[in-house]
Amino acid sequence: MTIKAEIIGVGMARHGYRADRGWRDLVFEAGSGALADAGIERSTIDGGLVSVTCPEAFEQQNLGPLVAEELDLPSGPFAQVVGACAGGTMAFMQGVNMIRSGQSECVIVVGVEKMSDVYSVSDALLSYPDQDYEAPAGFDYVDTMALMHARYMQKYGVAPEHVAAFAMQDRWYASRNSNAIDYRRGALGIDEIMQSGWASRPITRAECARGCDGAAAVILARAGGDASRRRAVQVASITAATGPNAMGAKFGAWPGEDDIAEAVPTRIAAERAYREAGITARDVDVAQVHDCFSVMGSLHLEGLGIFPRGEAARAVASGETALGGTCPTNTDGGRIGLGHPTGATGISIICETVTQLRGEAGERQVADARVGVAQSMGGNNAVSAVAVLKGN
Amino acid sequence: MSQNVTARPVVAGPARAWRTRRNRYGLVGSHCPTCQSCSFPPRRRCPRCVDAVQEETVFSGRGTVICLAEDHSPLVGHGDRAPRPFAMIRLEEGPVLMAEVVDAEYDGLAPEQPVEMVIRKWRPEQSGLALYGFKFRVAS
Repeated sequence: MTIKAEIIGVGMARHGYRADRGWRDLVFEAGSGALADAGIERSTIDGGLVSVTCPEAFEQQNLGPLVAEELDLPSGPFAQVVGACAGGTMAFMQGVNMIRSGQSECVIVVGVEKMSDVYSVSDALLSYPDQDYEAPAGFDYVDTMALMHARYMQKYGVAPEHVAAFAMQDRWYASRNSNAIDYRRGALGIDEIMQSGWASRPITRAECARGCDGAAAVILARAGGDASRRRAVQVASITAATGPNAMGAKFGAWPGEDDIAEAVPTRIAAERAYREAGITARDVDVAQVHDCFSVMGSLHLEGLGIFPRGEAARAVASGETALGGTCPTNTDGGRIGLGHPTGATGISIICETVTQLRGEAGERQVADARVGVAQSMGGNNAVSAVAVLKGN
Repeated sequence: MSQNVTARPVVAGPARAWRTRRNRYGLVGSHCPTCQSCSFPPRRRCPRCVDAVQEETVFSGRGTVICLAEDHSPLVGHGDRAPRPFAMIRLEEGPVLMAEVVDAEYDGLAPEQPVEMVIRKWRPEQSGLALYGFKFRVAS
C-alpha cells in the first residue's frame, strides 16, 4: 500500500530584525509552535530536517542534532539541508519521503535564518551565484535578476510599473499578517515603489526581498493515522527540477525556452507535480511563489502555468492575484512583504498554504481554498521546488 | 570603506584564480565537433548534443548586447564605485555571458550594441592579489 504524507502542524517565528533573538530562539519559537499546533507530544517525532542557507552568519554548522536538542526531541535521524533559497522546500520534500518510505511516522522540518548578524546579506549569499565568472566580477543576486527583469520587459513589452505591482500586492497581504516584517504598515503605492531608488536598475529598492531573521516549521505524519486530525492537509505532490546556475548558460539550455526571461525549472517541476497530484494549473486556488525580486514572482507564476508567458505582471497589476482574483498569490506577504530568511522561506510557504487550506488565514483568507501550490527557487533559477497541497 | 575589505568567510588561495586565468583573460571556451556549437565557460560534454569530445577554442571577444542593467549596490570589497552598466552579451561565436560594460553610461547603451572584450580588475582577493578578468566596451 502506498504511504501518503500529511501536514498536521505548522509554526512560525515572526520575521524581521530580531536583535534580541539568536537562531536557537527562532527555532524554538517555530518548532514549539508547530508541535503545539499539531497537538502531539515531542516523543512522537521520530525524524527531522533543518534548512539553513547562511549558517556562517551565526558560525554554527551541523544544525540537525542541535535543533533536536533545542526542541527536546527523541534521538533519531536529523539532518541539515542546503539548497540555496529553495532549501526549505527541498528539506520538506525529504521529510515527505521519510514518511512515504516508511522510515518515519512523524517528522519535523524546520527552516531558520539569522541574517541580522551579518554585515551584508548580499555578501553572505555570495556563495550561491556562479563562483568563477559572475560573483568575482562583483555581481550578486540583485544584479543577475536585474538582467532577468530587463529582459522580461524587453521580450514581452511589459512596463516597469506592471512588474512593480508585485511589491504593492505583497504589502497589502503582509500588512495583514502578524508574522510579517511589514505587519500593520500602510499601503505601498506604485509611485513610491518606482521612486524608492535603484538597487540594480531596473529593480528599485522597494522591489527587493528583505533578508531578515525568521524561522518556520511543519510537522509531517503518515496520512490516515489519526482520525482526529481534521485540520490535516494532504501532500498531494512535491518535486523539484534543476537548470544552469550561471546566467549565460541559460541561453541555449532548452530549445525554445533558451532565455533568462523564463523560469524553466519551475515549469518542469510544476508539470511533474500537477501530474502526480492529478490537477492542472486552473485548479490552483492559492499560490505562493518565489518573489525574491518583483519580477521573479511573475516569472514563477508563468512557470507554474497560472498565467501565460509574458502575461503575469500585467495580471498582477490588474488585481488577478489579489483576494477575489483568479489566483490569490503570496497571501503571507511574500519575500518582499513577509521577509526572506532564506533557509526558512521554503517552509514558510508551506505554512501559509496550510493556513489557507484550513481556512484560518483571517482577513487574508482566500474563499473556498481547496488546492494550494507552494514554489521556491534556489540560485538563478538553478533549482525550483513545487508542492501541491490539498485541504481535507 | 577600504577597497581591501571583504566579508567572505572563505579565504581563496591564489591557485583558485590561477586555474581560471585563461578563461578570464582569453575567453577560452569549448567547441563541439559534432553540432558545431560553442560554450563558455568550457564544458566537458556539449550541453546540446551531449558529445563527450569537446575541443578548446579561443573566442574573438566581439559580441552584441542582449539586455542591460545598471548596478547601484556594490558588494563589500567593491566600495566607492559609481553605478556601472552590465549586460548579457552574445559572443559572435554564439555563447552568452554576463559582464560589465566599461567606459560607457547606461543611458548611452541599448540592445544590439556591438561590444568588444577588454581586461580589467574584478576585485581584490584576500591573498593580497587583484583578480582581473573580462569586461566589455563599445566596439571601436
